[in-house]
Amino acid sequence: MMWMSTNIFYSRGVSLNMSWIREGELNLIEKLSANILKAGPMPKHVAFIMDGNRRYARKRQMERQEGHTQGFDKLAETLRWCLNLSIHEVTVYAFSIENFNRSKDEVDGLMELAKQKFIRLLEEQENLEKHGVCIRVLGDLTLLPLDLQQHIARAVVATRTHNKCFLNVCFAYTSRHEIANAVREMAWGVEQGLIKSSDVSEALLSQCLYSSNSPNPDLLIRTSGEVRLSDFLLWQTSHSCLVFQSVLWPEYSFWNLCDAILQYQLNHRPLQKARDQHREGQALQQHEADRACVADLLQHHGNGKPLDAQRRQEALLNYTASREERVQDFLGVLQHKRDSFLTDLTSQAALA
Amino acid sequence: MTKNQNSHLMYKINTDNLPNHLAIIMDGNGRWAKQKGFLRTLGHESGSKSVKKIIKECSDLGIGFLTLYAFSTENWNRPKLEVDTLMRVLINSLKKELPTLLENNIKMNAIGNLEKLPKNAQKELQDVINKTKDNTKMTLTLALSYGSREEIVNVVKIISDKVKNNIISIDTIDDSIINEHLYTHNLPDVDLLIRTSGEHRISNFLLWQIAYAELYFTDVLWPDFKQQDLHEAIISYQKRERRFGKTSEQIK
Repeated sequence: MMWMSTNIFYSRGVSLNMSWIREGELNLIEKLSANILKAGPMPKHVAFIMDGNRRYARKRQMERQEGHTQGFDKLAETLRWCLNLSIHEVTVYAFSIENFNRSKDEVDGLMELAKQKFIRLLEEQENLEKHGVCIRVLGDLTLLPLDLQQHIARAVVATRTHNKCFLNVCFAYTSRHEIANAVREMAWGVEQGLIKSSDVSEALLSQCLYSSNSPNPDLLIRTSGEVRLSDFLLWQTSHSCLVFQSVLWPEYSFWNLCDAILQYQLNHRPLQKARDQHREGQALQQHEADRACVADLLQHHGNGKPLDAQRRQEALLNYTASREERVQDFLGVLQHKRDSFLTDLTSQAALA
Repeated sequence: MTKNQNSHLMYKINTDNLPNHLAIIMDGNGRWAKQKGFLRTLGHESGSKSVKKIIKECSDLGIGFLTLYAFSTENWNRPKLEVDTLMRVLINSLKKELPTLLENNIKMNAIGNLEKLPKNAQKELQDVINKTKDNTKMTLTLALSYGSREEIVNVVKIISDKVKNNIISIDTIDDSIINEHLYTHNLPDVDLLIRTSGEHRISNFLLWQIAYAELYFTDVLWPDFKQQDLHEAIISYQKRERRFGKTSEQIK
């Protein structure tokens, strides 16, 4: 029974329904290279645009669907390499909202593949728990077939508390859609009086994105030779190292990954400097914004007499504290909305 | 066709497939100056010569929109001498280049938090914008005191206030509403983004607008960037297949 359920048949032969978790260590040479790399700065979060499945299938004269299946296998293998390299967070671009424009056959095939993979994921819960893998799916799930939504919800809820490594799968995703969603949430927050318009900041916007639980990627890798972002993590990769490799995704090797990491290491210093500068600039800007708000408040509510420096400082500290509390409460409401959406799907799935 | 004897690549450019909107991150002035043993400020002066050359070349080629990352929000944190020099170079360039813009039918545009610029720079900029507003051949946009994330945060504030005042309803907030409120609302999306000086990152420039742009990274430092380097970038762009999420078969 179990053997049967782990097989998917294709017109050109049998392909095993491969696992999300690959056991196994690096071989000696790979281990040596890994240790050399690890002596330098390592990315903690790597994002992949896994491009080239279809071209690979054409090259090997396979069915296109087989290209996608092998692409998934390569993902599992790459995750294993990342863990061996102590890279604990990976984000992948699995399906763009723009891909819905492809032929019905291809879209249906991809939806079916995704369904099988998430079902398989649930069968591997013990293994996922053992390795502490947390799976998140980023995107507009409401665009997907309901049964797929339910499988995804179950997988995400089942692995929610794991915290050794994180896999973020962007599915039914585009960055602009993600940003538009965050804008709607913040506009709603202002409309409801949960936050003020002046509370809106880069930090708050980052917290309203689907990726709110992750730090920004250090390194973005795109395979198959295209040199563009294709509406992927536009906000989050502002200061990421971008590496474009011509290898097709299903052919990606451990050495390709090492090469990309080497690029990251070569660019690391100016990158880190740029990030730090941006962060410092942001902190300063927030401080200035708080000061302006306090000055405004005092002008409108004060008794006309200017406050001394100490009172002004107190007012500023109070304002900052209340702003932070307001923002935290708002984010709590958003988180609750998201959690409810997922739990509703899982209880629907249970009843079905 | 331009009479540019310096680039043998000119004949390879397909004038039917030019990037409509070209954006450039003009990086490398400081590094160039350091390599030559000059002060950074001289690097910026030299960089402004490249700017002039490239604006003319883009206009001659027939590119519709050119956007240059002239001064970022992060640049305000540089040493005062450098910031003052950059502002001085900006004002002088605007004054000096106005005749060229008029001659070549180029419209001046600016994006960014322009109120942070010194008053004399704002005045000079507005003057050039006013005098070139009826030009039609190419729109030249200078990104000054610009940060993409700040631009987007600004959009959120404006939209939130409109929602609060019942001008927009939340349900209608989508990509195009956001686009309408960006500094770049009257510009098309970027087709090609060039970054000079070898850094492989975007650094907070037009993050939204480059969603489907081809990216071109070159090690050439900005003061050394010539017409030939521009031609190479455009030829690279023309070799690429742009699919916007579809398959190769679908775009044929």
